[in-house]
Amino acid sequence: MTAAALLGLVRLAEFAFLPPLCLAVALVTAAAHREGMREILRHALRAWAVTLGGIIVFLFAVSFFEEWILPA
Amino acid sequence: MTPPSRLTPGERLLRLGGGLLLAAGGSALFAYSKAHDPENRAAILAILAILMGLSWVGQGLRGRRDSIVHHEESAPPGPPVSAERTVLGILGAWLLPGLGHLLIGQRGKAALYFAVITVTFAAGTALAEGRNLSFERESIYFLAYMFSAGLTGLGWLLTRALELDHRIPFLQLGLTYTAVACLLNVVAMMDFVATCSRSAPLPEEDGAKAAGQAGGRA
Repeated sequence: MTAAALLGLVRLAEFAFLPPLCLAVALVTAAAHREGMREILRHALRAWAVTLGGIIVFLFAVSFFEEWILPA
Repeated sequence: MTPPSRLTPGERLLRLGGGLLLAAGGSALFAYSKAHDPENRAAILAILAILMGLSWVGQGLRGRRDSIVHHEESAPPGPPVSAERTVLGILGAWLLPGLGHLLIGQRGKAALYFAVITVTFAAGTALAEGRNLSFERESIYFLAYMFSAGLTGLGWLLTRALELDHRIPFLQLGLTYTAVACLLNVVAMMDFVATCSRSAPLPEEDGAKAAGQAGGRA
């Protein structure tokens, strides 16, 4: 499990440039969706957190699959 | 009758099936790219496909239709905007992100669109060391670049003399950043058009409507 977690962290480092791009997309789509700056920021930050969480879970799942399921 | 934001059972099934297929296809693309491409260039595309697929699945489960540009119905209509000003605003937003919103007095949104899209575009150009704006080398990406004419034109003028004479480690990432920035300008322009269509009618339009109704009654 530790190896899979480490592999996941390496993958996250590979995707270090994704969070700013995700934030830009979240901000623009939230602005197109909502009125009022406070509402836009709240909505964008929530969407950003969900997106990043999804990417992290996905990368760790792929690492776990490669490290433990495939060799067996 | 089903309200427009609610999905019919058929549409829900289509979104669930399509979303699962898209997520599975994205996962397969990610695995293939990881195994066969040392630079893993298709990974970002695969992740986007997975996220879009999961979003469709979410829509199917919730039974509600989501749209990129969808204002709350309770939001009050904005000040009146003429058709000429709408066309001028679209052209302005095409030349400079946020200019359309500035023309109709939405300064906050104008500043947000300008800052986010311009910074993303500049970050992409910096990551690609200025080699991302060549029509000869990156003709496919120009399909996205053409949605933000001002930034692309200015960037091309400033970097047209640069040649691809050494390996650039983040070229692909820079291209993705720049293309996404230009596509985000489409969302900003769609929001501008949606805002104009939600605006209150002009006084003369009101008068014409009232005259038409009176004529109809007579």
